[in-house]
Order: sequence, then C-alpha cells, then structure tokens
Amino acid sequence: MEQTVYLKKFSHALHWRLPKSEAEDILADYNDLLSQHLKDDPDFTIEKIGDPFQAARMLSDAKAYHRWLAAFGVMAFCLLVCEFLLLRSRFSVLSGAVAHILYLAGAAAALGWFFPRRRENRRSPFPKGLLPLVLGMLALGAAVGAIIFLCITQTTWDLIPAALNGRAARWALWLIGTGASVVAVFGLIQARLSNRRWCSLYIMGLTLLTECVLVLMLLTSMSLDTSSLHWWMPYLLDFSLTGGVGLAAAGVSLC
Amino acid sequence: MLKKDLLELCLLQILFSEDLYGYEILRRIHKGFPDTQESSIYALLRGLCKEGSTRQYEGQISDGPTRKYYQLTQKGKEKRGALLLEWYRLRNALSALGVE
Repeated sequence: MEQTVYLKKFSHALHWRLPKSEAEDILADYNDLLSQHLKDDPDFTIEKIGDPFQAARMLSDAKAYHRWLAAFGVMAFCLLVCEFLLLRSRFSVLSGAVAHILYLAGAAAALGWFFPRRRENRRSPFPKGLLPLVLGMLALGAAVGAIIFLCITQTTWDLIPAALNGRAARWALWLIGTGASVVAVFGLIQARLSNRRWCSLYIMGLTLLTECVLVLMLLTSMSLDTSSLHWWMPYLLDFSLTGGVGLAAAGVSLC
Repeated sequence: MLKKDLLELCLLQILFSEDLYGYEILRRIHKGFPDTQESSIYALLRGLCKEGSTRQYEGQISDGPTRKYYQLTQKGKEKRGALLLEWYRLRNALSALGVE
C-alpha cells in the first residue's frame, strides 16, 4: 500500500471515529513518524505500522464513539423512515404527525450534535462544493413548491396528458425526495469527516424529504374537503412552516 | 498482568529516565517487542498522555527539527510504581511455580 493511500484511509477512519482536532493531531504525529521511518530505513514499508482501521479503532475512545454512532443512528433513522413513508405512499391519519416528529427529531439531533462543535473548527474555511449543493437543494425546494402551486391552482397540468397528472406528480416527488435523502446522507457523512457545516445539507435534505411526504400525503388524501374557497390555506401554512424551520436550522448550522 | 500493562510499564520506564520524542520511544519499544505493531504502541502512548500520566511539549535538539516530546508526570510516576509492584508480584509467583 502506498503511503498516501494509507494516510487517506487512516485519515477517514480517524475523522469518523474521533473529534476533528484529535484526528488532526494524530495525523500530524503519524506524518512525522512516517517521514522519520523513511529517512532511517529505506526498506521501510507502511504495512509495518499496522492496519489503518485497526489503528484508528485503538486510538478512539469507545464511549465517545458509541455516542456518535447513536447520534448518527437517530439522524439516519429519521431520514430512512421519511423515505419509507414517501416511497410506500400509503398514509394513515398518523403519518403526518410521524413525518413532523421525525423531521424535528432529525434536525434537532443534527444541530445538537454539530452546532456545539463549531468552536473546534472555527478557523476552517467554508467547505468547497457546499454552496452549489445548498443552492441545488433550494432549487429542488422551489420545484416542490411549484408542484404544490400547480396542484392547488390547476386541476390539470397543460404539459402532460390529464390522465398522467397524478402519476407525474408522484414520480416528481419520489425523485426529488429520494435525491434529497441521498444528498442528506452525503452531507451527514461529510459533516463528520471534514467540516460540521455540511450538516446544513442534511437538514435541507430532511426538510425537502418531509415536504415531499406532506405534499404526497395531501395529493393522495381521500378525505379532502375542497368545498371552501381557501381550503388549501392550512396545508400551505404547514408546508411553509416546515420549510421555514428547515431553512432557519440550515442557516444556523452554516454559521 | 496483560501485555498491554507490560508495554505501558516499558513506556513509563523509558520516560522515567529521560524525556523522549514519539519516534524514538516507538523505536525503542519496537526493538524489545518486534511482534507488536507500532500503531498499538502509539495508541498506548497516547492513552497515557490522555489519562495524565505523561505530558507533551515542543522541543528541539541543536539544529534539528521541532519535535513533540513526552515527559512523565507525577501521576505517571505513581502508575509506574504500581505497575512495577505488580510485575514483581507476577515474577515471584512464576518463580515459585518453577517458571524461570
């Protein structure tokens, strides 16, 4: 194994298991050790140091690592159950409450875990690639908003045959929601491995996914009372509130 | 007494006589325990530092590079004493059983 490959694997394993400052400190020590080994012994091979994953395991505090795994489990669970609700598309009277609770729990867990660690890497620059992804998520959010608007204001979409309206809306929500889930998982992993600000991506992804679940729930509802003129107002309020909370939480996590 | 304790005793013993930098400590221990991987020794050394048995400081010899040196603390000296006693007890027990 090459030194760079070894160090890359070791760095990932360390950052996954340890707080950033500690992982960086160990990596600096290892770089120092390796350079001295290579200076003293030209035949030195990196394997002599030991397996990078095993080394990272030995260097981590089991209790602290289990705390992180528990937090990660909560965040991933909230995301997965929301995704399951979206793809299953069969909702009960409790589904709305479940989606809201999972959304709030996931966002609170992400903020609760990563925000207190802002002092650890205050000096680290804004992560590359985060801004385009955040803007992309906002664009996807706008797409969900457009679906809501079109579904509420128009009985049919002009661009596609009327018979396919429902299917098109469902597929659009499925794709946007699943895409948001994938991006959210990526953000969560990056938040742990490189910079805590990536957790804003998790929060935005979870928000978008929850919005998709809520919209699909509305579209498939069999007990809608559309007789009054502004029947959609409570729903719109709910969607706006969910989106607003998500944007605020993502904004806080970017600070 | 586990191998981990023995390695810790060796680390504390090395630092009892003089302050050393990481690479030198690992090199000396690895010489005595060639089957033990350096990452394991480093993990023990870091564990000792974390629990307060050793402390780190930046040091330099003549024109050489700045290195992270390890120094034994009072807590480390006490731990060394306790591990040493345990080692003597184990050695005596083995001798009494005829294990030489």
